[in-house]
Amino acid sequence: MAIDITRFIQRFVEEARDHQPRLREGITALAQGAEAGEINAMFRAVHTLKGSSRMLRLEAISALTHALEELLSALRDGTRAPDADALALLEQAADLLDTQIDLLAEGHPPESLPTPDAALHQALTTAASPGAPISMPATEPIPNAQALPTRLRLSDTVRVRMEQLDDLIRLMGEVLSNHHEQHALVERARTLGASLPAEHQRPLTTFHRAFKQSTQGQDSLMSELHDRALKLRMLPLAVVFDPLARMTRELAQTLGKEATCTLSGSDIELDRQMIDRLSEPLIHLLRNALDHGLESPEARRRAGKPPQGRVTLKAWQDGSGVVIELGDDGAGIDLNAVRQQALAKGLASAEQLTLASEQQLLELIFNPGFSTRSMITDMSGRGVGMDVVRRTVVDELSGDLRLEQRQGLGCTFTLRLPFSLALVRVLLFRVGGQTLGVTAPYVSSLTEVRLEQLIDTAGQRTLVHNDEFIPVVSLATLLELDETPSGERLLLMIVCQGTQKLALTIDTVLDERDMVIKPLPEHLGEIPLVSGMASAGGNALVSLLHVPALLSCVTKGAGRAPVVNAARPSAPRILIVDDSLNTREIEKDVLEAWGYHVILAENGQDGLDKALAEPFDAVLTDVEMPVMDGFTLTARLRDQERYRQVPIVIVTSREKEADRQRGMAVGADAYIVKGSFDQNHLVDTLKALLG
Amino acid sequence: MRILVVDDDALSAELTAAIVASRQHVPIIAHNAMEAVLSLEAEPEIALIISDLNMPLVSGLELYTMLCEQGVTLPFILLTGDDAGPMPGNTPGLRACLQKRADLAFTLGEAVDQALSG
Repeated sequence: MAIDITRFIQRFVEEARDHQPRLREGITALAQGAEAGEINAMFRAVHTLKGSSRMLRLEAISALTHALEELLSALRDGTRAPDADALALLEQAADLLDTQIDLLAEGHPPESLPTPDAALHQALTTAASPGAPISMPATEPIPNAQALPTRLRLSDTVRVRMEQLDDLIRLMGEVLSNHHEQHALVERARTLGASLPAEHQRPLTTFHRAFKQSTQGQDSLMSELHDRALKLRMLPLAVVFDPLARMTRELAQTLGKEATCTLSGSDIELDRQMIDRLSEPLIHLLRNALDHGLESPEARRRAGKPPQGRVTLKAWQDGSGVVIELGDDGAGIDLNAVRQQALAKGLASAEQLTLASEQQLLELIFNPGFSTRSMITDMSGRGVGMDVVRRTVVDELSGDLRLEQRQGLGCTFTLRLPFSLALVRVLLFRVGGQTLGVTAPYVSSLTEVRLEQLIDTAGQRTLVHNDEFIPVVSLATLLELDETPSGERLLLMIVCQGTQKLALTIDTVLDERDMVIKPLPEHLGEIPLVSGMASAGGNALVSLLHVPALLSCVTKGAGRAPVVNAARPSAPRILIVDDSLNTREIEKDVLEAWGYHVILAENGQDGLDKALAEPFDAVLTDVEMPVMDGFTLTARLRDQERYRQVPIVIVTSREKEADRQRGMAVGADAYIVKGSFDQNHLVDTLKALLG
Repeated sequence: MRILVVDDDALSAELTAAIVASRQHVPIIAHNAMEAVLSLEAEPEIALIISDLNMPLVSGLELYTMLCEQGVTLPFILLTGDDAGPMPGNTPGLRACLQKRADLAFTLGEAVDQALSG
């Protein structure tokens, strides 16, 4: 036969090494009174070894495993009790197996392997036959004495205490962070050289080149070091996911519901630090889904759903992070209950609540003390709620948490997280004479614009960027730094959290690098706009902007939170439909400034529902939106008797004539392109249409 | 010919595949019944199935019965790590039940040739 089996011997050794611990664990478990499950695992291990050893003509091993298998099967079938004698026999056989595998691993030919001596073999096989007394072989467990290994065989793994690993990774982060200073030194060597008289330049130029090369070499070694070190501390998401899946059924039962949990992506690995802190928010979200999300089996039947609810826990890799999605197929979130609760807790006024969009209402759930259940149940109604979950995800895990819901179909929480917190990508920039940083996940993009490209919306400078209106704010003013006089062009850094975006003016971008983030010392904990510090090499520290705080500071400061507007009761009611939160808010500001009464909707379907629920005098809609686009919305509205004559204005970034014609064909009265957006034009158009 | 090799033990699967390859056939490895079914769907040209008998969840024999029920009539060879027992009765498509032993290279080679010619 043309098969060279020797190359399979090494594979056999590897496989055997996997099975050996299982046998040992099983023996220990049996000694502690474990039941059949353990024996099955041992039996499988031994059986597999028997199969492969036979095929590889490893006769000594197959003889031993065969005998061992007999004994195990007797133990499994209960014809033999796992008494002290049987255990001792198993131990002896496992010892011999270890010796055989070790010798094989060291390259001894298969024929030279020690076979179970007659006594052991006899004992194993008679032990397997029911009722026979076990006669222990003389304790002479190692035959073939000259084949005894002379070296101590050590395991391939070592146990390391977590703190030691943490220290190592922390140190690695510091080393990497500080290494950036080398680049500055390389540059200094170059300028020093250039400042010397020409005849002395040569040696310094050579030095500079060597220095630069060595630094670059270090760069790649260090980033590899970083990756390797982090890998040591990575754990699969299964560590968190599996217990959650198991918990689901039980938790649901205590609530009088039925549910299963399906998992995907549990093999994705995250830093243990993340895994550690992730468990609590996920448990909370799961409880929430089971308690508030899923309906009782009867209610589900009535709604035409299977009585058993489904919770899905999915994870996938996305860019430099991981996305975790926890969804249920329950009733979704009762927005009216949210409104009532918010009103009862004094979180918003009745007027604000009627005006708020669905997304804004959902945001309310993340307020401290918010719960839509008046009855306090054992689980999620305790009021330690979504605010804690959001804070953990955003502040502790540098992540982002969003919520979506479909009425009657369920809701989905989406978490975006980095793989690790050991080193964080930071964008360094200067503004008002200061060097500041912002962690990369918050930065949506950087763009340079001419002053005249910005548009004015109700007194707010606004950037039109990819179909969205984004308010422009001077970061220097916000931080009370000296404003650097800006020229013709503005450098804008667009930051985002969730659906909210903000364009900040900055002076220059300095660098983008991986840095170790240090929390603020306690006495500085009160600075609201700074989330932490990063060491920028040498003795320099850089403050990192706390983007969520910055965003809420801007929305509150500029009065862009739902304000009680001054619209007269008789003011025309306008429905604004746009999937971008910023665009909706800005259009609303503009129209409210002109005394209109504005209601917001975030996609075509939402707009249609709202338009059918109450009358509007005009509708403003975007084109590209999820669920239902603006063209469809327009056409659907025109099908309604009530909206046949109501002015519909399409506001979009689509400039093509074909789109404009399509807009008109479905029945729009006006078509405004965002790029050339002029608030007066919008207001004039509306005035003309409303007559 | 393409031959599907089903075995939960990776090493044993590779060994069987090596035997198949030495007979100038193309082995396709599946590590459990599920993978086997997926491979059969993905590779319509598979002409023969060789499966380990003793596998967790779905045994080789259960895989065979399952495939029969689905109308898959490919010749099927069972391998076993145990001493060869009698051929399971009433299994016309089952060509052989071979012991995993050092002479498997020979016995399996023969069985494959027979199954493919008949």
